[in-house]
Amino acid sequence: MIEISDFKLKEKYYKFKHKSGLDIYVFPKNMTCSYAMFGTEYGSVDNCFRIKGETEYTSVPDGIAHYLEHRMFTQKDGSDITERFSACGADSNAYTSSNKTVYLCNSSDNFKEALAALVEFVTEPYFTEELVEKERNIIIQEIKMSDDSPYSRCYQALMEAIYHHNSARVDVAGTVESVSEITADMLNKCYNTFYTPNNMALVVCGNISPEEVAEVVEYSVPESYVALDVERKYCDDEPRSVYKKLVEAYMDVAKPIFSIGIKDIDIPADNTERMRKFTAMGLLCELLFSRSGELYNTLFESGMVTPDFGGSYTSSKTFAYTMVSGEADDPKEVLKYIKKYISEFQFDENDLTRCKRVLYAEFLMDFDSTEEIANNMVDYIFEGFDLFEYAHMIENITVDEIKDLLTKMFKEEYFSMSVVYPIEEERK
Amino acid sequence: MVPQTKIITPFLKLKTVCTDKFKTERISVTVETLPHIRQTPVERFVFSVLRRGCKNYPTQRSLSIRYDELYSAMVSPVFVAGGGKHRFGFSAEILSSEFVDKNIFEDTLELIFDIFWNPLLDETGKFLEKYVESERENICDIVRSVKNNPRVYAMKRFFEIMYEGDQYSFSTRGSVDTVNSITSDELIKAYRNLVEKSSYEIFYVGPKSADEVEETVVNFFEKNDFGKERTIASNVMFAVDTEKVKRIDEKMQLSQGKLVVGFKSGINITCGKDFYAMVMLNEIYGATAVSKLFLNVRERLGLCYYCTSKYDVHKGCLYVVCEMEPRDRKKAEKEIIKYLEEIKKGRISDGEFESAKKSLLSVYSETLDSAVAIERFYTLREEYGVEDTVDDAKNAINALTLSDVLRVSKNIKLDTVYFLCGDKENCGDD
Repeated sequence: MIEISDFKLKEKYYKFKHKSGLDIYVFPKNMTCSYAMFGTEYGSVDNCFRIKGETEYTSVPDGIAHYLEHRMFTQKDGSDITERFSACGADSNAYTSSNKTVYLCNSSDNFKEALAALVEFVTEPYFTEELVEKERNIIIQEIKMSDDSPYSRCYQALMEAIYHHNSARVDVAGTVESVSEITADMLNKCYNTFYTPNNMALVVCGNISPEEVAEVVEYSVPESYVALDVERKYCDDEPRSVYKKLVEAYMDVAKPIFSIGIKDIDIPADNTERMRKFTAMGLLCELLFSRSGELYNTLFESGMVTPDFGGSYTSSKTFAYTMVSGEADDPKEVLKYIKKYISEFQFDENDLTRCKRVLYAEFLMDFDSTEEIANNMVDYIFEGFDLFEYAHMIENITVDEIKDLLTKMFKEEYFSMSVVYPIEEERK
Repeated sequence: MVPQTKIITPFLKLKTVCTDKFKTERISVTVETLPHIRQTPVERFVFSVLRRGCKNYPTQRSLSIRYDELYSAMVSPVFVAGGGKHRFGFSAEILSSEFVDKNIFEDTLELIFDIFWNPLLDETGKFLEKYVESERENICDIVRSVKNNPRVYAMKRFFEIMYEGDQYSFSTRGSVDTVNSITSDELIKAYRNLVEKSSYEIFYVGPKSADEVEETVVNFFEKNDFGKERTIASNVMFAVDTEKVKRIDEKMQLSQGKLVVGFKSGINITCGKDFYAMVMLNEIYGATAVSKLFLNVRERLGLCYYCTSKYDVHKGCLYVVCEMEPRDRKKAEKEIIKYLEEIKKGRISDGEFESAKKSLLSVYSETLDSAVAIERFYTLREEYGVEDTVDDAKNAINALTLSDVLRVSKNIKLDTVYFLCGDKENCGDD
């Protein structure tokens, strides 16, 4: 067991390995509510894979990781694991993203019982065709809910416009058509491939010691829980330029909603380098798009955008982009202005120091919540990076690094825009 | 963690929760006012204008830069819409001094008071026209954009129908027509009325002692002559019973139907044990993933992604929200009504009852893990003169029996059924 501490942050956590190979992280925190997250590095982009020894790759329908997450809660005896959590006063939930699926529970009492339930149900799945069928309409309704949201539609259309082939263009939940193809056998195959100790991590944050966590896990993991070598296949011929420069849709909205995507395919394979780029891009986005910046204030004061205008950088091992979103009467004019602004943008050391202060403060504030700590831990673990290092990385980023990114990241061919216009404009 | 209350003057109350549990400190400065169909939108408008700039930081950009300098001090407007009273003001969350190179508490408080008490005015003593007109446009955009989120739009329409004729049915931002009709004179008059004649409450959560906070706060108040004319008693009105169930169907460009079913109970936060029994009933009925609605409408019948109930602690109303295929609307509505009837008939298992109890105990315990949650818990009760602490709430939940839940369930009456569905759909009206 190793202890990882940070003197400046006044926090520490423990890391150790279960005999199965599962990495366990325990972050003691004197809070009423304890949180546990059990995650697998398997998300919506992992649609093509093979287990070591197999000659052929297996391709599965879009949305299957999310479908699997939905179906995990039913136990062999037909009961729902939620009832067991509930019986000990715990709350439970799960989510799927592009690169991971995470199961979580939290409670203020009986936390060890809840933790045992979490580890047991995630390591002992039960799928039948009947159960898989039963879930289908629930997931279709979830997809349709998203279809009714102009913000979701705008974002999804942007992903499809940025990427030619990359799996990031696929919605996490899949489509009504793709989820209709999913079977119990497919779920079993995906579960057996990705829900393995070497591909998963357990993070616990709260009023509990690493020894107590180790004891719970010891008795909750089945013998069948063993490591596996998996090869994933991602699109490796994604062009540098975007697929479409502009996509437009019409819905019942009051004002045009827009999302501008700026594609980035220069994703460092080295975890530390990738994290450094992520941190530097976070600072650059703060410099460019925050409320303290000239861009926001010029666009807002002139009435070109509404107050919720903003921008951020997203990165993972397989895709990355900068996104700028808002609402505007004339999104195309806004895009033109943003491009011009970025091409002429200048900043100095003082501006960067101020932005570093903001990122550092926001990072530190997350340590007031066991949920945020556990969430951030899971994110950083699957990115292969240490949580505490982020604060130091913020400090170390230089003006030159950011200037370099500024010249490389915003070329014309990387820009794409998705707009949802009011339906009345279509009728004109 | 129970707040220590100090009545500094009859019009200035300080509540402090002294704790070193957090890396942050939270402070809010609010004034209280009565809900009013016109005055509330005017007051919200005032606070939108105030945050655009003040004498020392005359632009939004200069204000934002100041927030950044104070380590991302999140100074945000506070608007708490209660049942019979509203609170307006500003709050800030800042890093505790042990994590920054200086004590930023006083600087942040000074900034809040600058925004609050030193607004930018023109030579005639009114708010700057450019900020007024810009905010007018922003508020109108917000009001119009409600329809961008069909679920929010459905809830808005539901409230308008369920609480027709009641203050509660009106948007606190007002309609586009209301906002466009608000004059500069009204704005400045409302501002003067709020800052000069209202009772102030300061709520602090952090490592400083009540005396330390008091010393700083009093310093600011002594420099001004505000808050000396009135206090406000909450005048919450229970929703009035209507003779006939209101049923309204409307259409929008959607692929799903959004169903909202509303019930009245006549039991709100002032009702002691019955209030906690209603909280418990809601938990069993539809508030969790093991509730009757979730397990049946979603899990057993697979009609929707979610079907959830909420209990309005001000008005004592219960409402259920569900999104489904329009063709399944009748089926969903029938199930929603059916499971409330099951509760009324006492069909609650020991397991359901105990799970709901444990879940609520956990929810109340978790209040103490968040400065915002602590403030919300006590401010809500303050509005109604309820003196319960978090421990009192947990004790009240612990003491509940099945018969308490059955007793309150008898008061619940179906009031409103609202359905929003696609304009090309048959809305389940076969």
